[in-house]
Amino acid sequence: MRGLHSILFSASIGLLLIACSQSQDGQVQTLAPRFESSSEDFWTIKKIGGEGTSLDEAATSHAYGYPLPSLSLDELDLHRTGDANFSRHFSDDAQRSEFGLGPVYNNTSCVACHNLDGRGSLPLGLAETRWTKLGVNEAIFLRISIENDAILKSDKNKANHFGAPRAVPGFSTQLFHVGTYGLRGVNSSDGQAEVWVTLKKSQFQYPDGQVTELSQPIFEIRNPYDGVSESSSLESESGSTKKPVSRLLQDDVRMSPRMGMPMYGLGLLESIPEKDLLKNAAIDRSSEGVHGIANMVWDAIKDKKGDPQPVSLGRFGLKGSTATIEHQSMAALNGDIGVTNLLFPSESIFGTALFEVFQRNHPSPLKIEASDSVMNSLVFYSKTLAVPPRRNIEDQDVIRGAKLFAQVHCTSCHVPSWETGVSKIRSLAYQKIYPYTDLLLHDMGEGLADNRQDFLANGKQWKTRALWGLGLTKVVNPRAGFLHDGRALTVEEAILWHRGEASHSLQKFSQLTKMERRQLLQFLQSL
Amino acid sequence: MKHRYCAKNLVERFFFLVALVLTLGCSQSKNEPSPTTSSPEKIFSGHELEGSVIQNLGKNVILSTYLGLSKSAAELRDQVAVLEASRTQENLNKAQNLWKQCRYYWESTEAFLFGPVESLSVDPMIDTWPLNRADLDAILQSGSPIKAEVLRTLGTNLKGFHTAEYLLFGNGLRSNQKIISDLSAREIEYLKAATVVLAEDTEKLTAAWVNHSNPDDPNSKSYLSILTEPQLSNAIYSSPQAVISELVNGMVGIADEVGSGKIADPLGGSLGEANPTAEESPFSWNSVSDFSNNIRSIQMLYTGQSEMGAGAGIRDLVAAKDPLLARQIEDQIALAIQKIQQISSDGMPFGQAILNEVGRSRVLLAQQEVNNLHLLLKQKVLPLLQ
Repeated sequence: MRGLHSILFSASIGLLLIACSQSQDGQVQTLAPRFESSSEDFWTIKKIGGEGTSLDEAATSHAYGYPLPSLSLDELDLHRTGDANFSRHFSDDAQRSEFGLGPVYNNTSCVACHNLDGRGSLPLGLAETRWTKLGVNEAIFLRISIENDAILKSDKNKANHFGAPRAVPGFSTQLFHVGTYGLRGVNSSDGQAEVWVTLKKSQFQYPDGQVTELSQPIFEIRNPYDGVSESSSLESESGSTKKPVSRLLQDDVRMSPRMGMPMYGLGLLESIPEKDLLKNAAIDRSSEGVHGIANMVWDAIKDKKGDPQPVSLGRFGLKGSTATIEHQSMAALNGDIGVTNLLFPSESIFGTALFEVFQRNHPSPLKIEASDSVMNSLVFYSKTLAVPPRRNIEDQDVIRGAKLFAQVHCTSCHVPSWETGVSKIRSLAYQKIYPYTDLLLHDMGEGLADNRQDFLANGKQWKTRALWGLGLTKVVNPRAGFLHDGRALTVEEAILWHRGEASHSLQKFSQLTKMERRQLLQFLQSL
Repeated sequence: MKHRYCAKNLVERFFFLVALVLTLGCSQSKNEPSPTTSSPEKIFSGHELEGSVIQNLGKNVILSTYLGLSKSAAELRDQVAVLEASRTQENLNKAQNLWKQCRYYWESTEAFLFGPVESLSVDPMIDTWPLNRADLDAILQSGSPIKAEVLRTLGTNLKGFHTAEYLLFGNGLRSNQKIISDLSAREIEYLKAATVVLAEDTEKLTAAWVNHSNPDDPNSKSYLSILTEPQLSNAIYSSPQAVISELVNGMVGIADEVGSGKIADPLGGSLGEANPTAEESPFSWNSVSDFSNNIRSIQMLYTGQSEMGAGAGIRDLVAAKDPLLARQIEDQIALAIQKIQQISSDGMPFGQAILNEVGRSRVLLAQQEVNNLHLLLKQKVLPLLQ
C-alpha cells in the first residue's frame, strides 16, 4: 500500500517534471512529464538493470564482474574471452604474443585502471606537503589539448572531428606518462612527460556546524619531451641563452585528469534511444538552475561506415566525449595501453619527436597489434557486464533517503529511470532500467572545473554519472575515489563538491538534518 | 614512495601476532574442542558459528598467510644479500628455495584476493606476467647501475616474482637448476634490487591487514578489523553474511581461474594448440606448485586448517546444512590437489607435460577435477550459504 508520504512525493515529482522546452523555431512549449506522476517509485526497485541485473545478490568484491544473466553459451564464451583480455598485461617485448604495449602508455592492462571492473584510486602517499610523481601502475592520467579563442570559435566540421579537442603539437590529446624501457634514457620508464601530484585540502561546514574535510589532487607536468626543450636553446633579446619552453608547458595547453570508471551496465546505457535522451536535453529546468546539454561528438564508427555527418550523442567518458562502447574501448586500448587496432590503427604518438626516437631503436614495421579476437571480445565484454542488484530496499531509512534524494532534486540530473530500445543482445533490449543519470552535461561549478573544452562540453561541464552500483564501490576497491579525478573518498565528499547547476540541490542537502543526510546516503549505499 | 612501516616494526608485529594467535589457538585446544568437523556434534547457533568462522579465517588463515608472505620475501631479500657477499651454489640454492617459499605463500592467498591487494594495486607490482625479457637482458648487458630506487620506477614487467625467478633459475628451457657460475654479477645486482622492492611491496600489503587498511589515513582500521568486525557501521562488510559471501566467492573465483585460465591457456584444445609461453612460472618449473597452492588456499578457507592449527571454516557452515555435501567438497578439494600434483609425478614439469600426449592426459585429469570443484562450489555451496 502506498502511504501518504509516497503520494505527496509523487505529486511533487510530477510537478517538477512538467517543464518547458524550447522548440527549434524558438517557441517555448510544455513537455509532458517524463515520469508519470508517481508510478516511478524508484526506491522499490531491486533489479535496477532490468534483465541486465546480476543474479548474484552478495555484496562482495566480485559484484561488478558478473556477465548479463541471459547470455547464450556462445555469448558467454565471448564474454569470458573478453574478461581474460581485460585482465591481460600487454607486453612491449616483441617476442611475446601479448605484444602491443606502448611505446608510451598509462598502464599495461584494462583492469589496472578499472579495478575489478570498478573505480580506480589516487596514488598512495599523496600529501599537502609534498609532490609525488605518478608511477607506472596508477589508475589516473591526464587529457591534454590546446585551446584559444580561434579554436573555440572555429567551425565544427569533419576535418576537426566536429570540435574534438585539439592535440598539443608534438604530443596528443592524452599524456602518456609511462614509456617502454629506455625511451627517455637509461634506467627510465618515463613516457612523454612526468606527472606530479599534490593535495589541496579544504573544509565544508554544514549549517548545523558539522565539518567535513575535502581534498583535491593538483597536477603538474614536468620534464616533457618534444625534441626541442631537451637539446636546443634560444638566444634571448638580452643575448643570454635559455631553453625554449616546451610546447606542452605553454599557456594555451589545458589538462584534465581522468580516473578509471566502472564498467558494468554500459551496454544498457548504450541501448537507451538517443532521441529519448535528447528529449530530456530539451527540457528547460532553469527555474531550478538545471539544463542538461547533449554533447554531440565525432562518432568513429559512423565515420568508418562512411556516414557524411558522423556525429552522435556522446554518452561515455567523463564528459560524454564518445558515442559508443566500441569507440570508447578501442580508443582506450590504443591510448591508455598503446595497442593499435582496426579503429585506431596508428600509434598514439605517431608523428611526434618521441616516436622518431622510438623508431630509431625499434625499426619494426607499423602494424595492427590487437587481434580480431582481442578487439571483439573486449568490446563485447564491456557491453555485457551486469548491474548489481540493490540491497536493503525495504529498510525504512533507505526508503526515506530515496524520497529525500528526490526532494532535494538530485533527480533533476540523476534521472532515475529509462527504457532501452533495440539491441542485438537480448537482455539489453527493451528494458526498464534505473541508472540515475541523464547522460547529459551540466555545469558543476569552479571547484570541479577542468577549464578544458571537450566537443560541446565546456570547462565547467561534466556528464552526469550513473549511480547504479555506487554502494558497492568500497567493497570492490576500498581506496576507490569518486568524481573525475578520484578526489572524493566518500559519497558524501562527492556530493559536497557539487556546485554550478547543482548548487540548489547542495544547499538543500546541507540543510537537511544529520539524520536525513545519513538516510539519503543510505539510499545511495543501497544502489 | 616513502613507506610508513619499517621492516623492524612489521617483524615485531608479526611475532606479536603469531604469539597472539598461538595463544588463542592453545587456549582453544585446552578449553574447548576445535569447532571443526572433527566434532560435528557441537552445536552452534548460526551467528555464533559464522562469527567463529570469520574470526578463524581472518586471523589464522588470511592474516597468517600474508605474514608468511612478507616474512619470506624479507628472507629472500636477505639471502640475496648473502649471495652477493658469498657467491656459492649453496647460497644460490637457498635463495631459490626462498623464492619458492615466498611464491608458496603468494599463491596461497589467491582465494582471498580482495581488500588491500586490490586497493594498493599490489598484484601488478609483484606478479605481472609476462616479464619483458628483452628489456631485462638489455639492462643486464648495459653498464648502468641497478638500484632499488631505480627499479621502483621501472615498468611492472621488469620487477616482481617473475623477474626474480628468471634471474634465479635461468630460462627454464632445459633445466631449472641454475649453476652458480652462470649467475653474473649484474644478475645479482638486479636480483638484489628486485628482491628489495618485492619485500617492500609485500610488507606494504601485510601492513594494511595489520595496521591501517589505507596507509595514507591513520584513522583507517586494519583490514583484518574490517573483515572480522562486520556490522551496519562497517562501510564494507555490513553483516557476517557479507563476509562469508566474500570468502565463498573468492573460492569460486580461483577455482575457475585455475581450471579455465592458468591450466587451460597453456594447454590449448589440442597438442597443436599448446602454448607454453602462457605458463606462469616457467623458469622455476613451479607451475604445478602454483596451481596446487591456489587450490590449497581454497582448502584453508574451507577447512579452517592452516599453519596456525585447526579452526572453524566454511566446511562447518556447509556441514550445518548438508553434511554429505560438506564431505563431498572436502574430498573434491583433496582430489583436485592430488591430480594437480600428479601432473609432475614422473618429474616432468608442466611446461613439458602439455607438449606430449601422456603429460596432457594428466593435465586434463587435473583440469577436470578443478573444474568439478569449481562447479560444486558455484552450484552447491554458493546457493546454500547465500
